[in-house]
Amino acid sequence: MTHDTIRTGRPAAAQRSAISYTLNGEPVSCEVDARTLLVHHLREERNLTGTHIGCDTSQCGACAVHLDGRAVKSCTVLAVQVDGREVTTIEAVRGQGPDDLHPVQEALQSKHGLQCGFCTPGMVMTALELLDTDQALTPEQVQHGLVGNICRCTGYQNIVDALVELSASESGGTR
Amino acid sequence: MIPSSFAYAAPATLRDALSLLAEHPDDTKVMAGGQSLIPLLKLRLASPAVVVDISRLKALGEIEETPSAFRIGALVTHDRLLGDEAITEQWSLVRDAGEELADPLVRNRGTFGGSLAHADPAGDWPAVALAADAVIHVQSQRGAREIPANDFFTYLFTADIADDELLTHVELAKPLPGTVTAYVKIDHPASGYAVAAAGVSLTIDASGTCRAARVAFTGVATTPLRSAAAEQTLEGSTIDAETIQRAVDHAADGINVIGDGYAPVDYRRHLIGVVTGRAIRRALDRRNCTPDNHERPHT
Repeated sequence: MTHDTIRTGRPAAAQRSAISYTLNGEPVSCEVDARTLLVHHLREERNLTGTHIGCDTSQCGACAVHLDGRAVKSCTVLAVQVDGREVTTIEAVRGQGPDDLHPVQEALQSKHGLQCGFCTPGMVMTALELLDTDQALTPEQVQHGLVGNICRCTGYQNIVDALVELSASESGGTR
Repeated sequence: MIPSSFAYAAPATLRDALSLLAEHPDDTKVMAGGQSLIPLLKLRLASPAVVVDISRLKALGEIEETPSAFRIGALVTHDRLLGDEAITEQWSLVRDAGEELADPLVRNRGTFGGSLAHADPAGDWPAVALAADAVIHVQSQRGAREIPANDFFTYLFTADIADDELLTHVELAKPLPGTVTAYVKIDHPASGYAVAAAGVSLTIDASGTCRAARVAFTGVATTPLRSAAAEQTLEGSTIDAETIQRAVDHAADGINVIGDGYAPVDYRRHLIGVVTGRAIRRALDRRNCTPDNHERPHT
């Protein structure tokens, strides 16, 4: 993707770009439209529908994925931008628990941190980065960390409780 | 929502990027982190023919510290800037603004330079750049230019960057001894954007006299801008309670304050005073504090 792409004078609508990237640990090579959003690529071209579209205006966080290990909103990234990078979606989040649940998912389940579950994949992806610390998190820190993820059911309290408790147990209970 | 079609290029070098901008000066948008541009593309408020993605220009991703300044590359993300202890300790208002800017997911991807170039009249970083006398560096095939923040924001979403120019880095001089700063925002609870926010920088000498004051607002007018009236009130004073009140009372003087559904003009004028007073007091509270004294929420 140098500017040769533009010089060739192909109509913009037809511009397809070849990308190669790592998706949930597996190499992927494909062509995408320049204007295709990462979330649409994941859901419609890779059939990974765990990543949700809530608002489509970069506010709700239901589409959160990890790009090179950092949580981002996949509705606000172009698919073509992940060329050469590493993408992790909720489908790759697994743990040793029953149903292969990850500790973050188990914590949300046990604290009733979800009702309809639509926001949950995004919450989990954001929480994974938030909990990537040796510190035990305070409720305020969890609230601050989840400000980009909207939940319309729970009122947030159970989500916050779940993550605070998990963070305390993972850091050995020190606060 | 799907953006309208555009041609896309992700140049690998600054030279290539500048040649692309020179070849396609019309209807081209530069994308850094894309956290403002992609939402605009999706809403089709922007439909450029060409998008030049500069995110692969590694040279623009660094923060360099010189004896007198910080050079913040155009691709430094909000999160990266917040994690730079040298900058956030010397310019406390960077931490104040950064921690309240958007959300952690956006901060992982959006950039300081992109935010300035986007020139959102309610953006947080423009007020910080104004209060800290930042200097914006742009480059094109024709050469390089430096623009003081105070001259940079020219109209709604419009900055002093020509179509063939690229913002390469922002220079933040180290604060003079005795300088304390703060940023206070009253935000819209849904969007998080400033309804009114103030960035303040006060340089106070050993006798307690204010030698230099910067009071900058965002969210209140067609551009982020400074308050000459508040700055003149503070400069040369000892910033006692009465002086602060005068600065609050006159903060909106000379500013063509906008009104909208969130805040009609009169109410926004009132809020300008409120954030001015709070930011001045917050900055003064930091005098004689070691930089580490205030709380740091986890980010």
